[in-house]
Amino acid sequence: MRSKDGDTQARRLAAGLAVETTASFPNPAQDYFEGHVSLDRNLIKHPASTYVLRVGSEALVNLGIHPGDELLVDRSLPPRPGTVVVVVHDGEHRIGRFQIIEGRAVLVTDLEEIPLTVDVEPWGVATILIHHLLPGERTARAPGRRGAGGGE
Amino acid sequence: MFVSVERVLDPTLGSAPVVVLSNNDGCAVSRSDEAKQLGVAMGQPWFEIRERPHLAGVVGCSSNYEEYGAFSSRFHATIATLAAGVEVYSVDESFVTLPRTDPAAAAAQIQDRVRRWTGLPTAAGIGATKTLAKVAQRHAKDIHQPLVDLTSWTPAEVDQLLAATPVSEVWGIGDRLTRGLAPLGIHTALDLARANAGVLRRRWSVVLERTARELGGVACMPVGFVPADRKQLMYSRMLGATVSTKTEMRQVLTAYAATAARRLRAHGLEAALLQTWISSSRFREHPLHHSVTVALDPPTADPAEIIRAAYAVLPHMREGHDYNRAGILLTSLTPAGAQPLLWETQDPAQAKSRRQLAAAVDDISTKFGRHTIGYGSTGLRTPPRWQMRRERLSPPATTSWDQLLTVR
Repeated sequence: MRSKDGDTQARRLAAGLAVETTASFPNPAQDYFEGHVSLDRNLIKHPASTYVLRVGSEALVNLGIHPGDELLVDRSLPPRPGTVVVVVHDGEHRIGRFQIIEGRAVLVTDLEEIPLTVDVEPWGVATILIHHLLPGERTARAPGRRGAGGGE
Repeated sequence: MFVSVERVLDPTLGSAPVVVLSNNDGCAVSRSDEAKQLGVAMGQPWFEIRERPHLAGVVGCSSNYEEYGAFSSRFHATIATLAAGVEVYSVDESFVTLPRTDPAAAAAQIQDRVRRWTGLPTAAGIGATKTLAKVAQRHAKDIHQPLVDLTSWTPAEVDQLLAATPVSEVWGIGDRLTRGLAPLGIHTALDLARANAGVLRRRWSVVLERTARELGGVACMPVGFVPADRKQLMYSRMLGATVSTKTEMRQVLTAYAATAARRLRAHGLEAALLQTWISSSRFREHPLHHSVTVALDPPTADPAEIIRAAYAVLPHMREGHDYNRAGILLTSLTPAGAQPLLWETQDPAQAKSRRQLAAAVDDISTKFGRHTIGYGSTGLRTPPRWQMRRERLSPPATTSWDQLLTVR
């Protein structure tokens, strides 16, 4: 079933958009329903600068950030003390808590402290942590294993 | 831009000599400054680069179009957060209208935000016209500066730059025009700016006249210009491996025609004419080239019909000969559904079921991804032997959930 603008009913229903009703009386919800709650719209304030990264180590396990989790990282936000930030250090993307210790900026993890000198670029600030509660439901492969299926 | 994206995805490439390779990992199409300094030429074949001892450290990356498209989207979206009048010109270029007072500060702010949000360094040029802005941008890249603002230069300084710019490097001037302008004594951008506008328009086109006037500081092409209607749609690629059987060539034509048809539908167009060709390497002793033109009546965007029409070249193919290229060209394009049919040349029930089939394939592709379903062998997951070789591909770290950029 195709409507005038070429969009199928199936596509619109799948996208959570309103569809035309065939009854001769009007749909009382038509002026009110604007769409379901959207994760993208609510969790991503700046789409152009927000990236999804996968956690590949136990550096911040004590903050509840586990290997295999995803992080939404916004490159438009400046690092502030206490926030979880991503930096590029020695050619690698690293996470840690941003702190000012004795006047110096430092990246703190459960395992080490990395001083943030001029060479160490802040990459972005983590805003949202995605942790999957159901085992084996992820399509993602755990980092470091190529070609492995889901299920832990 | 391509090298810059590779460096964002893999920070270890930061100061290495890096090149991005063309389709089938053929030649260097994007080079980092370090690679240029080592002497890697634009378009230099990869096999040559690998052989030279002094180029042993050069890292070659296959074209990661998936990621370049993603970063292009971010690049343009970021610029749009700071500027209202934006014209998305190409994958990595935008024209932006800046405020008259202190445009350099506005440009620097945009460049800074692009750097922070995407990691991409940029070169920018400011001018009174788009053509001058392009000259300025080219100059910025030449002198390794992020920004050149011609509106802050004296007219004499601008003239000096135009006099030092060969006309072939002016936006819109290709080889043929360069050769055509030479007898008139037009060799530099300054010559073109000073040439008689009327002569340019009469002997060539109003487009050339506009370019000349723009070089002189008169804006003729507004930012946000709407491109003219497409006249043709072509999909032609060199094969990743030579094909010598009709069975395999039919697969190639199916894939190429399906892609051309998908683009046609994406643009809301239909085609009335299709040209299909296959050829072998021109470096061979006896290269072959076969081309057939087929009328599509009525004009269509239906993948099944376009694929079937593309097969028209197969009877001309010589089995056993190694072909390395195929192509599809769709012309006589009209907006889809524009022409009411004068008479039905096909069974309406069949036409309807074809449309439903095409729509269903579209829906499945949109929902599950392009490689979920396809016509004929294009629906198979195993990539075909002849598919474009990209053997040095970086992971699709921002476009694939399974291969996301990882933090340690």
